[in-house]
Amino acid sequence: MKVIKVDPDKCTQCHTCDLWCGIEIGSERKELNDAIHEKPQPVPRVYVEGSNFPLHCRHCEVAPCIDACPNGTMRRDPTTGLVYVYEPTCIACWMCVMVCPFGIIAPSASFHTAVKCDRCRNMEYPICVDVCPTKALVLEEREEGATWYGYAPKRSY
Amino acid sequence: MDFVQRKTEDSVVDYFLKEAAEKEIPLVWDRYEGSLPQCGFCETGLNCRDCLQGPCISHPFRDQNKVGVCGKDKDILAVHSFVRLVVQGAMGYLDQLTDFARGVEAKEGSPKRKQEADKILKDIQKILGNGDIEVMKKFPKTLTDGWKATGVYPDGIASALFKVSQKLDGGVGNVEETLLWAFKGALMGCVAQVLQGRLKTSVFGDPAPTNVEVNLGVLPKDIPVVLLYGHFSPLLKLKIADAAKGKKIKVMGVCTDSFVAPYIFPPVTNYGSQEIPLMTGAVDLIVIGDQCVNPSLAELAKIWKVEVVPTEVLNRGGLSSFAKEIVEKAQEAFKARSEVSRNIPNIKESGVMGFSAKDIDVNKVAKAVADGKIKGIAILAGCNNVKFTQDHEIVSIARELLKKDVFCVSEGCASVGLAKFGLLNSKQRDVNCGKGLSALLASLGKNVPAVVDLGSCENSGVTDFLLSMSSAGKKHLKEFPIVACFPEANRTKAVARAAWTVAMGVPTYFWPFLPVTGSQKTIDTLSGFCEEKFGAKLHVVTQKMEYKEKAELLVRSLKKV
Amino acid sequence: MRYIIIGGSAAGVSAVEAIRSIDQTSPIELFSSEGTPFYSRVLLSYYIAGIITKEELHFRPLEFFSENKVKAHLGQRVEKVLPESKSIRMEDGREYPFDRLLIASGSSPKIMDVPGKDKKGVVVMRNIDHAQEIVNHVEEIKTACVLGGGLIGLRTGYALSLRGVKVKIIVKSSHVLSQMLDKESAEMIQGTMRQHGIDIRTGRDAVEIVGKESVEGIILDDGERINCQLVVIGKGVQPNVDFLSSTQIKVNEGIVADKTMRTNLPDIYVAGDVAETYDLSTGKMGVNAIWPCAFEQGRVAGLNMAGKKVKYDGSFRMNSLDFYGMPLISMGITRIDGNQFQQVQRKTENTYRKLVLRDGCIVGAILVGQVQKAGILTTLLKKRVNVSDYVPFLMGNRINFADLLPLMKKNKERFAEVEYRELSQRPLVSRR
Repeated sequence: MKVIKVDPDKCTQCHTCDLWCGIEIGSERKELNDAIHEKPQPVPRVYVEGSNFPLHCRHCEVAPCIDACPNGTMRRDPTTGLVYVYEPTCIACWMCVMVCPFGIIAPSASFHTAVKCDRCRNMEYPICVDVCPTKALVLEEREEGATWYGYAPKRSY
Repeated sequence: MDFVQRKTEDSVVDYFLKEAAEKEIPLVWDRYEGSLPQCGFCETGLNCRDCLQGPCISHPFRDQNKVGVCGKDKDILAVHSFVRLVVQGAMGYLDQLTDFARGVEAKEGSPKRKQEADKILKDIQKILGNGDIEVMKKFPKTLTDGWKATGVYPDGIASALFKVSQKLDGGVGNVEETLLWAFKGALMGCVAQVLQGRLKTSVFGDPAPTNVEVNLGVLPKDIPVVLLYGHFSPLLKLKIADAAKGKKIKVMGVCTDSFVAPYIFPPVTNYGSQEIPLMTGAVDLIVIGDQCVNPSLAELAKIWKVEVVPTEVLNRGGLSSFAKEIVEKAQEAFKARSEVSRNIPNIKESGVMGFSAKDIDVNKVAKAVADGKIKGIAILAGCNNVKFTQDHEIVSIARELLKKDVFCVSEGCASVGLAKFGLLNSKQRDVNCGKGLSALLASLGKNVPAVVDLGSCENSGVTDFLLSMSSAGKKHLKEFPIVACFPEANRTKAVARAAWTVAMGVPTYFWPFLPVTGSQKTIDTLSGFCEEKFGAKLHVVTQKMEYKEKAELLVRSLKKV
Repeated sequence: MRYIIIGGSAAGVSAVEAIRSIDQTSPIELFSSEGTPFYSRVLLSYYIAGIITKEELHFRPLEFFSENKVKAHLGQRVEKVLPESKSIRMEDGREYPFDRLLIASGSSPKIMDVPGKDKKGVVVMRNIDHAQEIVNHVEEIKTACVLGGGLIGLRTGYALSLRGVKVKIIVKSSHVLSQMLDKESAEMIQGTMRQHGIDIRTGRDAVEIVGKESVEGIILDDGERINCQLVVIGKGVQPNVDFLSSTQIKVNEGIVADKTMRTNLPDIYVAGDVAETYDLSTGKMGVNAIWPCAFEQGRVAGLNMAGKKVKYDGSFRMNSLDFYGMPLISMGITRIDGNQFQQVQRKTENTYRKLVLRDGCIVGAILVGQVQKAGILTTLLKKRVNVSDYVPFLMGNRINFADLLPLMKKNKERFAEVEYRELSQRPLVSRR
C-alpha cells in the first residue's frame, strides 16, 4: 500500500493541497471558480496543521475507525487495503470521529456523513501530492511486513 | 517545454521554440509550465499582503480563515485585488506622460507647434494639482456630467490615485464604492493617455498611416541592429534615430510605439515572443524601458552577446549624449559579434499602421451602422498571454468579427499581432471582411485595411475615435453598438484601460478573467452596478470557450440601433 | 483446529475475521441465541426513528458466514460449557467439541422490578425484537415514558420524539446520563431536549405501571400519574454469565480476561460485553460494554486463538451522541471523587469541554458542541501519556495532531505502530 508522507521542511503552509482537495474531491463542479461558491461548502480531506504539517488519513494497520463504526460504513478496499467511507450507509453517529488517533475525520453536519481522506482511491494519483508546489508531499510504499485488518468487502464502489 | 498545446500561431516563433527546447534555453513558456499549478487563492483574488499581520487568504472551504486578520471579507479582498491592478495600470500611463512632458519642458526637443505644446504642458501641471484642465472640455458633456454625478470625475491625481491606494489600507467600505474609486483612478489614466497623445502631435506633428513591415524577416543581416523594447520617452527614441541616421544602423522596436515622426521603428514582434528576436543572432544592442519588458532579456542577451542598455536609470543625464552613447555601443557590439551566426527566417508581412482618429470619417461609420451595413464597432486591445496560444485568440476572434461585418479597430501590441497575419494588409482586405464592412472600408480610403490600427498605448487613438463618434452622433457612447475586447490581456495597463473603457459606456470583455472570481458580489457589481452607473458592464467570463463562442458573445452584445 | 464462538454480534464477527486472516481452512462454528445475524445494536434507535430500514441494520452482508466458511447455528442458545471435555452443550442435549472456544455472549438488560412490568407495551430495549415491537405500534402511541436516564433509554426517547411521539423521561438521579456526564454537560443536553418538546423529570422514579392488559400509564413516587401507551425501560445491562456457573471460569462482574483475552482456563477466550478487562481510565478491572471495545477485543481474542500473539492494552468507556444537532462525546472517568484527579473545564454559550487528569495523564473527557478531533483525546487516554504541558492546548479550539509531535517523540515506545513511524520521510519516531 502506498501512503502519503510529509517533509515538514518543505511545507510552506500555502494551503494549495487542501484547496484542491476541496475542489477535486469535495465539490460537485470540480472547477475552481464554481466550487468556491458551492453550497453546502465542500469539505477538504487534508488538514494543514501545526505549523507546517499537512495531515491525511494514515490508513492504520489496525484501524480504530473500522472497529468503531456500527454498520460497516468504514471499510477497506480489498486490493489496496485503503480505508474509505462508504457514504450511502453513513448515519452520522460520529463514533469514528471519537476514535481517530490523528483527528482527520471531519463530522460534516451539512453532508450528513463522516468525511475522510481515502488517498484518492479512485483516481490515478492523489490530488494533494500532485499540486503541492514545493513537493513536500510524496507517495511512498509502506514499510515491509505491514499488513492490515478489518472489513474489506469485495462489493465496493 | 512539454505541453501538447501549440504554443504560438506564429510559424517563425514556432521555429525558434523548437530550437530553444533542444538547446534547453528557458523561455517564458518553460517558466509558465514550471509555475503550475498557480496559487488558487491569488487566481480568485482572495488574498492580501497589504500589511504585516498577514499574508491573509480567504479560504473558501474552511471557516476559521474566511476573513482577513484586519476584517477584510472575501468580497473586499477580491475587489482590492482588482483595485491594485487598476492603480498600477493608471500609473503606467501617468509615468509615460510625465516622463515625456519633463523632457519637453527641459527643451530636449523642439516642438513643431510650440504654443499648443505649452498649453498642454500647463494642463499637465494642473493634473498634479486640482485637475481642472482644458482637455477635459473636449470630452462630451453627457460623459463628464455622468462622471461628476457618480463621483468618478478625474480631478487630479491626488484624489484619483493617492486616495484609491489608501482604500487598500483599510477603512469601512463596500464593494460598490471601492469599485467606483478604482474607476476614478482609471479615468485619470485615460486623461493621461489623451494628454500624451496631444503632446505627441504638438511636438512631432501629425502622423500619417504608413505601410510597415512586421515580423522577424525585417531584421537585416549585415548591419548593426538596435531594438527598442518597452515604453520610454519618445524624445529619447527621436534622438537615437537622429544619432543613427546616415550610419547604416537599423533601429527597430518591440512593444513600443512605432511612430515618432519622421522616423518609423518597424515592430519586429509582439509581447509574447519578445525573447525570440535575440535568438536570431541579428540583434546587437537592445534599449529597454521598464513597462512591458521581460526581465529575462538580461540573461538571454548574454547567450548571444547582445549589449543591454536600460533607459530608466538614476542619473541618466542628457538625452542627446545618452543617445549618442547608445549608437556608439551598437557599432562596437556589431564588431565584437562578428562570429555570432545569424539565422533570420524570411517571414514578414506588411500592414498599414498609425491611423489616428482624424483619418476615420466617423459620419460614414455612423451611417453604415444606421443603414445596417455593419453590425457595430469592436475595439481589440491587449497583447499576448502565455496562458493562450500566442495570437490565436485575437486573430481568430478578429477574423470572426470581420466576417460578421463588425468594424474593428485595434490598439497597441494587438495591432502587431493582427499585422503578422495579414489583417492590416490593405491588399487582403476583402478576403477577410464581410460585404458590408468591405464597402465601408473602401469608402473610408483606398488603403484602409480590414482592421484599423489606431496607434499604440502611447497615443490616444481609440479614445479620440470614441469621443468623436460620440460628438458626431450627439449621443452618449452607451447608445452606440460598440464593444471592447481584450482577448489575450496581460499587463496592469490593460486592466486600467478596460476600466476606463467601461466608464465611457462601452461594454468590455476581458480574457483571462480578472482575479475577482472569489466573490460573486464583485462579479455582479462589475456587471449590474456598472451598467447602472456607466451604461456598460465589465464582463468576468469564467467558462472555457472557443474563439467562435467568444466572437458570438461580442456580436450579441452589440446593441441593436 | 476446531473453533467455536458463542455469540454472533460485534465480538463474534470480529473474531471470525481475525481467525480467517490467519487460518483459512480450520472449521469455525458460531452459535447465537438470536435469529437475526450481525445486526448492530447501536443502530436500533435509528431504526425506530425511521432513519434506516431493517436491512440497513446489518453491519456485514448476509453472505458473511458462507464467505468466511463459518457454520452458523442461529437462534440456538448454549446451555452449558464443559471445559473438562472441551465441548459445549445445547438446550436440546447436543454437544459440540472444540479446540479453542470464544465466549462472546454479550449482555442483557437489567430487570427493573416494578409492578406492572409484564403488561403489553412495556419494552426493555435491547434486541431487535424489542425495537420491532416498538416500530410495529409506533403509529398508535401518543405518549411514551422512558424509565431511566441511561444512554439506551435516551436514544430510544429521542428516536420516538423524531417520530412525533410525546416523550417523557423519568430519571432517578439529578440529571440524565449520570454515568457518562457531569452536571454542566447534562444540563446542556437536557436543555436542548426540553427545547424540542421532550419532558425530562429528574429526581423521580416510577413506582407502578398501570393499565389493564396494555399499558395505560405510570405512577411516580410523588403520586403523579402520567398517561402513556408505551413504557421503555433502560436501566443498564449486565453480562450473560449465568450459563457458566458450573464451570471453573473466573467470573467477577464479567468473565475475567488476561492481556491476551484468555480466561483463566486454557483454550477458552472471551470478548465483548461479557468480558472484564483492564480499564485504562480507572486502573482496575471492569466491564465496558462499548461497541468499539467489543470489536477490538474480538479481534485480539481471534488472533490469539489462531496462534498470533497480540496483547490487548485495555478498554475504557466512550460514547458519542448527537441530539438535535448538538453533538456530545464522553470518555473515561467524568465525575471525580477524591483528590487524585485534576479536572479542567471550559464552558461557553454553546460548547463545553472538560478534561479529567490523574498524574498528568488523561483519564476522562467530555466534549459538547465542538467534537471534531476528539479521537486525539481518546488516543492520548489509551496510550497513557503524560500531557501536563499540553493541557491548555488540548482545551483550546486549535487542537490538532501535528502540534503533538514533540509529545510523540518523547513517548516513542507508546507510539510504536507503523502509521506513526511513516508520517514523514524524515524519521520522526524511530523503530527502536
